[in-house]
Parts: sequence; structure tokens; C-alpha cells
Amino acid sequence: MKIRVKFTKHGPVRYVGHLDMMRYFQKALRRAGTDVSYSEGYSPHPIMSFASPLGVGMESDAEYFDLQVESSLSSEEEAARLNRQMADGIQVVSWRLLPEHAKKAMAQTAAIDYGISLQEGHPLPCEKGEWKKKMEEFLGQEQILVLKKTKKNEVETDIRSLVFSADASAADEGGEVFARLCSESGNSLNVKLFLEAFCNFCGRPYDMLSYRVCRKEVYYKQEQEDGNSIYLPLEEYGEPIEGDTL
Amino acid sequence: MRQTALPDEILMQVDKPARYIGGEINSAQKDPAEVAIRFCMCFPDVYEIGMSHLGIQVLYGMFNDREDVYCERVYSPWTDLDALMREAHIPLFSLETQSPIKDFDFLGITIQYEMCYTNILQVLDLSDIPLLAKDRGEEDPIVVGGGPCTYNPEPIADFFDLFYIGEGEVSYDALFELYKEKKRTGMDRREFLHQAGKIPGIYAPGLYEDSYHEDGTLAGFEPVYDDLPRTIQKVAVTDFDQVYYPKAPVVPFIKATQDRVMLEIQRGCIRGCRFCQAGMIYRPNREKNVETLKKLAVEMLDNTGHDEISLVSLSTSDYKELDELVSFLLDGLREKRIELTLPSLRIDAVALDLMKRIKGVNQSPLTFAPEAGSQRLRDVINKGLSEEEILEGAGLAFESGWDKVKLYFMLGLPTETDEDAREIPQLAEKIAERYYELPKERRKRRIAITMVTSFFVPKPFTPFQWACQLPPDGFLHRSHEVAESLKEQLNQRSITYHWHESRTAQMEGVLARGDRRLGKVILKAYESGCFYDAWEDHFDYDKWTKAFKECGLSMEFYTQRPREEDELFPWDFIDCGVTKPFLLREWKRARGGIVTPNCREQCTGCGCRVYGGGVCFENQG
Repeated sequence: MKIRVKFTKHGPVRYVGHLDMMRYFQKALRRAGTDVSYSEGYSPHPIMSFASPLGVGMESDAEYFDLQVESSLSSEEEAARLNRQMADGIQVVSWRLLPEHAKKAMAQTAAIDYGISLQEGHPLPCEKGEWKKKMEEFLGQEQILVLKKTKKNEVETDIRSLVFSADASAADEGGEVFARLCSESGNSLNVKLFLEAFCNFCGRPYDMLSYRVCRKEVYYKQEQEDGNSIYLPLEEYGEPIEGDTL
Repeated sequence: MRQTALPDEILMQVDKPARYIGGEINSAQKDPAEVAIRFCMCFPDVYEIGMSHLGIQVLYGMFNDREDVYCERVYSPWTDLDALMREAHIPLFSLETQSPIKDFDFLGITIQYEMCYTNILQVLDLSDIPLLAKDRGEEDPIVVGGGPCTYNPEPIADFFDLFYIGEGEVSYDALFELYKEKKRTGMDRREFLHQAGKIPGIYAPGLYEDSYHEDGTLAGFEPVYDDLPRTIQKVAVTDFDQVYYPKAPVVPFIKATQDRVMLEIQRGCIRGCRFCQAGMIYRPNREKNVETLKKLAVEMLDNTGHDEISLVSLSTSDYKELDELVSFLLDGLREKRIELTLPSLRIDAVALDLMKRIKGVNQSPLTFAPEAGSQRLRDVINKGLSEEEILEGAGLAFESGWDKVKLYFMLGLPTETDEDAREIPQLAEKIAERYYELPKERRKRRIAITMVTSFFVPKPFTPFQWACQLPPDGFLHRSHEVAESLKEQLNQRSITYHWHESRTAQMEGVLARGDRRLGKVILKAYESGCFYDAWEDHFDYDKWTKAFKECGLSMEFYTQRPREEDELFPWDFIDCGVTKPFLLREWKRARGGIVTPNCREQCTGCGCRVYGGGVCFENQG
């Protein structure tokens, strides 16, 4: 059976990189006694895959991985068992059963929300009071051209359509900048690139140390009968497991 | 939520910032205000190396089992962070509570190899602790060193308040009790060191004085107080089976070099290889009961979640109940998909059978450590491994499907000639020929043999402590001989050859058998920018040469000078169990090419029977 696990990552563990998080969960699952399914072959490993790598230094309210298990207790019990094995700053918040034919979390990922808090004392693109206005102007452009690095070279791309929404009004009161960015495979916008483009637009240098980024949610896209589509959190693709065991 | 000592802008700039955040699974969490003693344990190298060290995990667990002690950890900041910390004046901090090292009662440093000596100074320097022990005040931590290099602590004596000679499980409780008394009674630092120097295994270097003959050799070595021992006897565990072992070692976030459960099956070695310091200083050989090991293995795997377990010892094949232990582990581990690794196996029919049971015939190479190319030289070093045994082991392995072989050798061994070096590729050739004796249909591909040579470094407390070391160009000449001889072999295309840096070996040789006068050289080298010397890219030979010149000392005095049989060595005040007369006997037998039987075959009276346990008391009624 396929399980989708959602966890949060805050505090110093935000410096633990993506590959190390995978190793961390492999060991945590063993300590928790989760009935994990293993791959066949020469060196068997747990069948698990992460939704979207989180950059080193970023926090998250919504990290996801899919896991194949042989059996599962209730969602509540499985999450509690794992949480007894978590390091400070990491917490499992949901454990959901996926339909058997569900695509992997990574393939389903369509959009990601970010909360960007501004670090006082660092160079920022706007003064207080200008944020809302500047962001609206930024989004009001026909196109937003940036240099996107590929494996071979840099290409100029228009990222306007990849910024689904952004709101900086809270930043004028010292709050966060919010952004929902497209994150389909082959067509995703890195939050750093978004910030860099905004700084360019404001005519100010981009310094990654000026921002502390927290991933708020990761979404899949669901087509509606009327032809429109809505974005739903990845966990909602699965069902909570009630009661005792399956 | 825990706070990091390093600000975000630094953590975002450095390589692998998770090295510095602490908070790993199974790391100890206590309130520093609630304990009597704060101990910071240091491995003076980068995190991934330091976290792989078993000894620290043992002491860390043992200390933290005491309610009155909080033991934390610190490793050397990598060069990128080193520069940033100096620039921003950030003091070095512990991982657990991220607090300054200077606030601790003890800084314990494990000293595993000579080339980390400058890293010790880096740690002290970044901690803002005076580098020289004599300059430290009442508020500074007590800096205590342990580990194999403390069997000749003299080159680094100036930097330490205390050395712990022997196995950590024995005397730390006594040291902690004394420290609590110091706090209670207001005993001053010097008096504390004086009293500590009377605890078994504890050496207070500042309370001993050295003097020299005109030729530069040691003339005398005396304590300044009459009640301090003239000889420091190594402390060793007698009941090794029941001694403390960490059941829940710390699990790093980032991948350490040893990313697995390490199960110590025995300590000490029954073989008496004459070049091997570990084989002498960890005597007597003591085994853990197989039932104890089974229980430990299960608990450690459950507590860490590691997917691999490795049996740790100097010579796995010599563990008496290896077969039973491996069978138990394989039965229990297979369904949990846990991998078992057995390092240090002597390749023979038994070992091959074990290897096949563990992983089946696989792509990892078959490893032999003949150490010397010729049988004559293998007898000199007492490596009880004959050419027949190597060829037979290899032959059996080839028949089972192996086709990769790795061979380890040393160059520059005592009595070695060019001819001995030239025999190294000849041995590889014989192994290759053995492979081609297999019928053609059973050979999947060409045999791949790798020969690796390192340069021999004579170490204290080995029969070769009297030996001269080859100079760097002598080393290079020998590796050239190996390369030339390789070209004459029929199967040369199947054999590759790698060799290690020769100047590192010379430096290691100087520090290994050095005396107290080297302290100022090490200090000067550090001040001129040397650290991470164990990392070839960072080792700066010219800076070291310059430091020697400025201090008026020569490297050759320590490496190439012939030593008289009755010379007083800087480490002679330490009694590691193995006696000097035994070592001298072995040095003479070596030069005569006479092999000495292993401890299980026959006791040869090395002196370690006084420890009252282990192999010395097997089958002796």
C-alpha cells in the first residue's frame, strides 16, 4: 500500500540537505518499526520518494514523501510512532493512504506556496510602505525576463506565467511576502529566482541572506468539470486511515 | 527551539552546514546548569571523520550515563568556517548546547594520528584557550588528551594539562571525583594536576622535566614532585565482556565515513606484526562473549536505525566465535534488510565461506595485506602470511567467481632491499597467473589487480622503534623499483599500482618518535598556517621545513638516526604492558628473519599478562 507522509522542518535542521533528509527518514522508519516495503535486488532499500527537494537553509510546513508499506496502523498511530523518533525541529503531521494508482508526489506537484520573511539589517529591495505597490507593479508586467541556468548554459525566459500569485502587503507592516509559484516538472520557478527577478525589477541587488524562506504548502492540480482547475494540498490526494490496522 | 552559535549568514556560506548544528538523534540533552562537570569531547578533524570514531561514542555514552556529567562534542571546523570564525571573532562552540568551549570544565581530545597535531592547536586557538598549558589560568578548561598517539605524548606535551594513557573506561570516574573535590575545596589548578597525576593512567606533563645529552638524545625524565610516579602504567579493562558499551550511539544527519553500527568484538590482537603499534599497545587480546555481542547488535540497530553493521577489531578472523556470531546476524538481519560487513578478514576457505554467505560473490575486491613482497621480508615483519596462503586464498576466490584483487604493501621496511620491492609485482603476477589457470569459460573478464603501497613509519612501542626510516627520496626510489618491476610482468596490463605521498610519511615519522622539543616546531608550523596536515591537499611540507629550521632542529635526527639498543626514548616513562626487553628481543629476531608465534599458539612473555585477562589466561587451567 502507498502512503503519503507530510512533515514539517524548522529550526537548525533546516541546514540538513535533501539527500541527508532521505537518509534521516530511512533510519527513522527503522527505529519506529514501520512495516516498510523494500526494493528487490542486490542492495534492498525502502521504496520511498520525496516530492520536491527543499533548498538548504529553508524551513517548511509542508514536506512530502510517498512510501510503500506492507501494512499500516491508523494514521494517528503511525504518525505518533514516527514522531517519537524525530529530531528537534522535524514533525510528522499526516500519514495518508493513497489510491493504488496514484502518481508519485513529485510527478503530481504543480504549485508551491512560500512565505518569505525579511531579515532586518540586510539590503532589501523596498522600503517599508513600498512593498505592496512594487509587487503589484512587478506582477503587472506583460513579461518578466530572467536568465535561467540550465545544465549547459543560461537562457532568457519569461517567468511571468510561473508566478501564480504574490502578495507583499504584509511586508509593509514587517510581515512576510507570500508567493505561489508554479512547480510542474520541467516548468518550475525557484523561489530564489523569483526574489532575484523582483530585486532586479526594483533596481536593487539580490542578496539571498536577506530572506528567510519557509515552504507553506505543496499542491497538485485537479481539473474541474467546468474545465477550470483547482490546486489542492498533496496530502488531500490520500485518505486518513482510521481505526486499528490494515 | 535550539539556537545555533553560528548566524544564518555564516551557515548559508559554508560547505555542509549540518556539521555544526548538533541536535542529532541520540545526542545527549541535559541542562548544563544541573551538572557538576561539563566535558567537551573533541576529535580534531572534520565532523564526518570524527563522528566515525568508535572511542568517542563509547566515552560520550559512558560520561552521559553519569548524572553529574554532561558530555558534549566538538570537531574541527573545516577551513571555510575557520576563516569566517576568525574574521567574525566567533569562539568555537560545542554541538549540543552550542556554547563556547572555554566555558567547559574539561576539553578532552582524542589523538588518533600524528598529522592532526596542528588541528589540536586550531581547536584551542578558536576556543580562545591559551595554546600552551603553562599559560592557562584557573578559568580555562582542563585539556586532556587520549588515544594511540598519547603513547608518545611528548611532542604535544606543551599543549596538554593531562594525558590519559590507556583505555578510557577505567580511570575517568576517579578523575571526575577529584575534579568535584577541586570545586568543593577550591583546590587550585596546579594542585589539581598534581593530584590527578597520581590516578592510574593519568600523566600530568607539566610536572615532569626532560634533559638531553649533547648529541640530542634524552638524558633524563623526572617528575618534579616525589609523590608522582616515574612510570605511568597504561590502564586497561580486565572484564572486557561486561565493560560499558554505547547501546544508542549518536546518528549524524550528514553521512559520516562510518555510517553504520560498529560492534567491537574484541580488543587487542594476538598477531605480533612488528610494524603495528595497535597490535602492541592494545594488548592483551580480549574478546566479548558472543551472547553479549548478539544482544548489543540488536539493541544498537534498533536504537540507531542504521541499515548496516560492521564488526570492529584488529583482526576479525581471530575472533573465536565468528561463525556463530555471523550466523546469528545473518538469520536475524536478512528480513530486516540489514547489511553485515566484515573488515580485516584473512582470506582463506573459512573467510570465503563467510563472505559468500553474507553477500554472495560480489563486485567488491578481495583484499590481502601481505605488507611485503618477499617471504623473507614478511618473516622480518612477522606477518604470518605466506605466499602459498595468498595464492591458495586467491585461487579459491577465483573458483567462486571473484575477479578483483586489492593488495596492500609497505615500502621502506627494515632490512628492505630493492629486490624486496621488485617482488611486489611478482607476487601480483603469480596471483594473475593463478586466475588464468581457471578454464576459459569460467573467466568472465580480465583479472583486475590493484597494488597499493604506503611508506613505513616506525612507531613507539613496536619492535621497530629502533629502526631508521627511509628518507623521502629513498621512498620514491623504492616505488620506482615497484613500477619498473611491474613493467616486466607478463600480466602487467591487468595490474595497477598506486602509492602514497612520501613527505607525509616523513613528517609522521618525526612526530611519532619525537621528543618534547618538537612542541615549538608544531607551534611554529601552526602559526605559519599549517593545519589539516592529514589532508594531502592541505599539507604544506615547505612550511614545516621552515619551522624546523627556525627552531634549530632537524627532521633526520628523528627519522634516520640509528638508535642504540640502550637509548632512553622519550616514551620510555610509559609502561604499556609490552616490555622494552620483549621489544628488543623482537627487534633482534626481526633482523634474523625469525618468526614469533601468535599469542594463541604460544605465550612469548611480552609482559601484558599483568592485566589479568584475555588471551593470556586462555587454556591455562
